[in-house]
Amino acid sequence: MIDAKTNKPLHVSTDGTAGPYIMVPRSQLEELKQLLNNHSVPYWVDEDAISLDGAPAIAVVNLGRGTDADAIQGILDTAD
Amino acid sequence: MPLAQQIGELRDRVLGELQEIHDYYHDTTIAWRVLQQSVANGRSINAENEVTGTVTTGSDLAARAQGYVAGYLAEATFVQFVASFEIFFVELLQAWLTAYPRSLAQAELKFESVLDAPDKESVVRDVVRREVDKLAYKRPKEWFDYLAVVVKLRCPAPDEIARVAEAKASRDLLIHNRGVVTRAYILKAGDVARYTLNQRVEVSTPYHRATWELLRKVVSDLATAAIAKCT
Repeated sequence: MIDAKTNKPLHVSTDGTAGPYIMVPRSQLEELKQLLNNHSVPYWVDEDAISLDGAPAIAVVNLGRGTDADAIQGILDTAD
Repeated sequence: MPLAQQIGELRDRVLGELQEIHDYYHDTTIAWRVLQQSVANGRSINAENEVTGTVTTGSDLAARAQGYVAGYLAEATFVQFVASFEIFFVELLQAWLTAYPRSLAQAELKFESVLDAPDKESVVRDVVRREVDKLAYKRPKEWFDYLAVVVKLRCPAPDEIARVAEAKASRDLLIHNRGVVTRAYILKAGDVARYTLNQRVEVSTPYHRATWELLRKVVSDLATAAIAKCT
């Protein structure tokens, strides 16, 4: 799955201690949620999508502790 | 001050606190997410700690942001929600028992404490405080059972009591066991336990929000019912 803002593949971030997460343009949030739902991946989304300097708003999808970030990255990489 | 007014003021104060804590959570989340995006967009940040000499860069901060927001911040504010509720419950019961102490008529106390008390109100206050302190160490289910007997309120609903008990049990784990589930949690949380033994509890955004809404509702409902009862 390609990030519409950066034109790079969506990336599962693993920094921090609270589990992996994905930053995604809000315009692609529903598509990402659908993808995660299709693979029965539990997640939650921050209450706000934030736009900086008028750029497209970015949402944060939290995957929670104990989630296999590599497996989720694999799901994103193989999605259309 | 009349009891109804006292309860009304207590309700307003605690609802205000819950609002403030949630605003802090929300605003702080935004601040960290803005920082993450700014760094991702190429903004450079360098901050030197004058005490330790440690230099923190924007990348360092951005890397810590997720743990701060989804971990520490969510958990700390969740713990504060529960603490605010506990304060509400304790003060509500104290106010009620002080106004209607007859239910404590069988309480035993040392004659010395009567002799030393400046007036009857002081004796009542002391007996009430001891009664409420004793109850505060018990489980939420017992708090509400006690309230049902003493104040005879028809709230909260059993499923709400179960969820308050689970939230309190989660709070206890975060404070006393680094969030790792114990048998005590499973026992306290009962049917609405969210985790099994040795799992690490998580305070997700939906759970954080649902708990905040639940505690606000229970505070409002209890106050409304108690005020109706004493007016």
